[in-house]
Amino acid sequence: MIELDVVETPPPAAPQASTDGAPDIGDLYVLHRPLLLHIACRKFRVGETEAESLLQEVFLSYMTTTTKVENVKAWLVAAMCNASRHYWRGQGKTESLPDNFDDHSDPKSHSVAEQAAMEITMRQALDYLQPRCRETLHLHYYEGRSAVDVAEKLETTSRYAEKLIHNCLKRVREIYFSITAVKR
Amino acid sequence: MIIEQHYDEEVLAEFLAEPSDAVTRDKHLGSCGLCLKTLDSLRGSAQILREAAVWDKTPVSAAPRSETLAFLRGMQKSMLDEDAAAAVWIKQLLAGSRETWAPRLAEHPEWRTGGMVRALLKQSDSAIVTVPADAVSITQLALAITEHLPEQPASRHLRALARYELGYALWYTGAPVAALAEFDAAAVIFAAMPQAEFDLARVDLMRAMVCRMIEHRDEAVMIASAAAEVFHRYGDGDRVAAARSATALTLQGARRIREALALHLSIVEDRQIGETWRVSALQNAALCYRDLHEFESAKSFLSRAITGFEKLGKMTDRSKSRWVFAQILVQQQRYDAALPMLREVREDFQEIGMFNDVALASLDIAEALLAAGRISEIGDACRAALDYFSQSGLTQTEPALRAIAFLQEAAAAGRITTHRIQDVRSFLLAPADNRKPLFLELPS
Repeated sequence: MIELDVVETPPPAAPQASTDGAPDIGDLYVLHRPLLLHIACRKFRVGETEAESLLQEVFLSYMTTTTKVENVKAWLVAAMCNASRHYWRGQGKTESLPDNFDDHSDPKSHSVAEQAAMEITMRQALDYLQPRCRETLHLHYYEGRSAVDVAEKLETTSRYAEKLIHNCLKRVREIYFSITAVKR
Repeated sequence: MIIEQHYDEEVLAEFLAEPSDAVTRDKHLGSCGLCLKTLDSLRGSAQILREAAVWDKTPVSAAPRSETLAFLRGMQKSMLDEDAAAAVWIKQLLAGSRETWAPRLAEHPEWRTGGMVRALLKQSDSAIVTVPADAVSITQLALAITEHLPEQPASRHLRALARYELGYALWYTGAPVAALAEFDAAAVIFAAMPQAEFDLARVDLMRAMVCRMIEHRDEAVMIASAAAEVFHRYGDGDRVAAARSATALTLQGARRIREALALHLSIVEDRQIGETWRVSALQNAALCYRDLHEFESAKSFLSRAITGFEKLGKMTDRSKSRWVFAQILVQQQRYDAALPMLREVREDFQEIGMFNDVALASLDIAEALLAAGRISEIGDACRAALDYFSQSGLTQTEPALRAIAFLQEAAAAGRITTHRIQDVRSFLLAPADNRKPLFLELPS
C-alpha cells in the first residue's frame, strides 16, 4: 500500500480585503485605547507619551498587515505587549531596566487582555471605597501584611483588622460586580 | 427534609490564607461546588488586588488624543485612495499575457504605490489556486514596486509581505528552496520591525513547512512551535492549528508517531479552530493510528473525517480518506469489503481527472485481488483503467497508462506478483525525470 499524503492545509496567505470596507481605524483606536494604554503604562511601566507613540505604531501595523485578523482585541494587545517589550529593550541600552523587567515577558500574555480589563475595573472599584478601606486592602493584599501587622499600622485590634479586611474585600467585590454587571 | 448549609464569604475568605490542601481536607468544601466557586472568585479578587497595576497612582489620560486620531484616520484615508486608484490600474497591468506585465509596469511609474502592492498581493491569492505560475509573476511585480517606494516603515513592511507572498507562490509551485530564500529575506526585514511579530510568525510557519519538506526536521519543529506560541498570543486559532499541525506532520515524518498523534488529537479537541483544521486533524490522527496498527481507532477517525470532508464539500479529501479506509481493510485481509470501496475511489479520481491516483488506486485493486487469490480478475481491473486513460487522451496520463499496461501484460502472462506491483508503484511515485523503465523479464 502506498503512504497516502497527510492532509496538509497550507496556512492562509490570503490578503485581507485591503483597507476597503475595513472599520474606521479611529473608532478602533477609541475603543481599544484605554486597555492598550493600561497595558503599556501599568503592566510595562512605559511613560504615557511613549505609550501613545507605541499605540500609534501598533495601529499602523494593524492597518498594514494584509492578512485577516481573527481576533482584533487579542491581536492589538499582543502587539502592544511586544511593542512595550521592544521599547524596554531599546531603553535598556541607555538606562537601567525596571526591577521587574522579567515580568514584562509574561508567558501568559494571551490572557493579558482579560487580566488588564479586570485590573482596570478593580482600579475603578477601589476609587469608590473609603480611604481607610482602600488602605486596608493595600496593606493586606498588595503589601502582604498579616492581620496583626495591619492592626498595628491602623492602630486597632487584630480581631477588628480581620473584620476590616473581610468587609473591605466584600465591599470592593460588590462594587466590582456592579460595574461589570450586564444590564438587562 | 435536609436543608443544605453553605459557608458564607467570611468563612470562605479565611481559606485564602490557608495552604492549598486545606480545601480538600475540609469535609463540606471538598464536595460543595457552589462554595468552591465562591472561593475561586474570592481568590481571583485577592489576586487582582496583589497586582501593582491596580495600585499605580500615575495618571493616565482617559481621553483619546486628537492628533493620534487625526493621524490614523489620515493614513487610512490615503490608503483607501491608493487602493481605489490601484483597483483600476491593476486591470490594465494584468491584461494580456504574463510576459507583458513587467514591461507594462515599467512604462507606468505612477503605478508604483503601496495600494498597487496591496492589490497585487490580493490578486496573487486568487491566482495561486487557478494559475500558480501567474501568482509567482504577480508577487514579483509587487516586490519590484516596493523597491521604488519611499524608504519608511510602511514600505519595508510591504516589501517583507511581498517577499513572503512570493515565497508562498514559489512553494505552491513546487520550488521549496527558492521559496525558503524569499521567506528568509522576509524574516530579516520583519525581525527588525517590533510591530511585525505576527507577520514574522507567519513567515516562520512557512519556513517550518519548507524545512519539513527538505527534511530539516529539528529546525522545522522548533520554528513551528515558536510560531504557534505567537499565534496563540494573537488569538489566531486557525494559525495555531496550522503551526501545531506542521509540528505533528514533521514528527510523523520522523516516525515519532505517538507524539504526532497527541498533537493531532489536541487539534481535534481545540474549540478555537475552524472545521477544516479539525477534520484534517482527524484524518492525520487516523494515519497515525494506522501506522501504530491500531486499525479500529484509525477507521473510527477516518469515518469522522469522511463525514467532515463531505459537510465541508471537500470531495477530493473525502475520497482520499475513503482510500485510506479501504487500504486498512486490505491490511486486515477484508478484501470483499475493501475492493468495492477501492473501485468507487478510483471512479472518484477518474471524475476529477487525478490520473496518477487512478493508476495508484488500480494498483491497490490489483494487490487486493492478488492477496484474495482472485488473480483472474486483475486483467479486467487493469483494462478498466486503461479504457479511462485512452479515452482521456492526455499526455499527462502517459506514465500512468504505461504502468497499468505493464501490469496488465504481467497479469496476462500469469507473472503478477506483489513484488512486481511494488515496482510499478515505485515507477509511478518517482519524479518524472527519474523513472526507471519497466521491463517484464522473459519467461525462463
